[in-house]
Amino acid sequence: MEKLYQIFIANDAWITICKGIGVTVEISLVSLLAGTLLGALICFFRMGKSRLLRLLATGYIALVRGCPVLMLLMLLFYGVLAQSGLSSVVVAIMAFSFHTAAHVAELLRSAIQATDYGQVEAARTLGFSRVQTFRLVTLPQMVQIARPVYQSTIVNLIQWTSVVGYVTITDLTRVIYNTASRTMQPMITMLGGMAIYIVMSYCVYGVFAWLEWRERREVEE
Amino acid sequence: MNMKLNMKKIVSLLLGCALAGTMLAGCGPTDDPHKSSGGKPLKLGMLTNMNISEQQQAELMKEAGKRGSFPVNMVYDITYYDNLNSMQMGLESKSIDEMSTYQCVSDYLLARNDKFAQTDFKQVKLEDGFCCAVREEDKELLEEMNKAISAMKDDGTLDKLVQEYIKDVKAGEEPHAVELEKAEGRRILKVAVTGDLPPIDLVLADGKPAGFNTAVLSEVGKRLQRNIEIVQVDSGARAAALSGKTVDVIFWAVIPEDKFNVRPKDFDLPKGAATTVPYYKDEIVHLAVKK
Repeated sequence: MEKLYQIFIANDAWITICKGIGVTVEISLVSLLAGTLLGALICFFRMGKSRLLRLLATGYIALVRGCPVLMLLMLLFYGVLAQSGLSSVVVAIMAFSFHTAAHVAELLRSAIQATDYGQVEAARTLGFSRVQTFRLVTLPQMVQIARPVYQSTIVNLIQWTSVVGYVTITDLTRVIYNTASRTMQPMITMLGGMAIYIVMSYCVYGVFAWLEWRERREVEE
Repeated sequence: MNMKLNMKKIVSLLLGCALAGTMLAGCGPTDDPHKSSGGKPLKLGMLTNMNISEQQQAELMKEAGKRGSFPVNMVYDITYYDNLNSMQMGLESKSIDEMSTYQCVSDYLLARNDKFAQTDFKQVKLEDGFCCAVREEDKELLEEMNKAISAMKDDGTLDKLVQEYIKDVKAGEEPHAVELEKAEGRRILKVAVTGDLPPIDLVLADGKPAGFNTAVLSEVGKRLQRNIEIVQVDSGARAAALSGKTVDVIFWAVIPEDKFNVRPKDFDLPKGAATTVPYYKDEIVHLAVKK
């Protein structure tokens, strides 16, 4: 217990760990929002009628999904945007947004394709506009289908952010590394870090489980 | 019946795995401390070197042994690690038999973790120099830093810092954080620290960078009339941070200084970088898990 106290609590170590968690959450949340919006746009292009946009979207997805996020991050921070004056956090958010967008685009496309097209045709026959058909028929089903994979994407995103130490950001992983070096107890420190990441992941699963439970209750009522 | 058959299969599979594991792992250490079981070279963990592979490094040590300039019985199978943490975990998990580090790092580690002990490698007296690296084109900065470090050596400042931040640090304690002097109108010098090599480079519990390197930095900043800005970066990204102009100076651990000429000069220097004169030298030691 004394060892755990020395590693994780003593001399304000817990505050430093909390700050690290804050950085991880900040990068993950903003990247998720931006990545989801960008992903939806790419999915729209990927499934659209314009051949050029379809080609560009397919190329983007293939390129970004096939590239390790650390390489993308390093390339942006130390290469393409090195002289841009953008802060490391902004560049990290951009890299993770681009990466998440590629995954979200494919996830949305597969969810849309999994919905019954006959229902869309039926809605259109009944006089629904295209927007109404999407909002009232496709979207609710798409959300149901995409939800499990989307929550995995969020958890993956939280884990991907653990490489931001390479671009001068002190996130949770970096704090854990520093603590392990300082205390020379890497095994215990890494286990502690792992536990924090697991708790963060289960918070995400918890939110989705709660949303599902709430929806079920509404249907039952 | 089926259940019984399945159980039988599982038990025989487990027994088979255990037998294979025993055969692969060998049965205990041999008499020669630098050879593992089966006469194979000893597995040694080292921090990654830039311009040389693990095999080449091991070959150079072997050749030096043949030349008679390195103990011939010290034959290693080298594994590179990105940082001290992963190397220490490799040693704890027995992926490697020994890990290579510096005397001051070993003292710091042994005061905090009683699982390890130093081996007799210290008798070899292999030494590395600690220096700063700047971009090759920053010739003016390199010259200024060289002048500052040489002056610090001449007037005894470096010796004082070594005493205060390395030698006088009591076992189990950490060197205190250094306040970096800031003055208006001075140019900024961005320096990368990793926090990976205590007591030379570490980050304290409150998140402040500390250690001997920051103390050297503080003094260099005063002499160069520059405001030092410390940037924390992963050790694997130091060279990229320097070449991408995110930082102006990085700390580089090694310029070979060994009398055995085991390693060619500058074998660990990133391309496009130039190193200052060393500001500290330390002996290389090996650590192993206590028997």
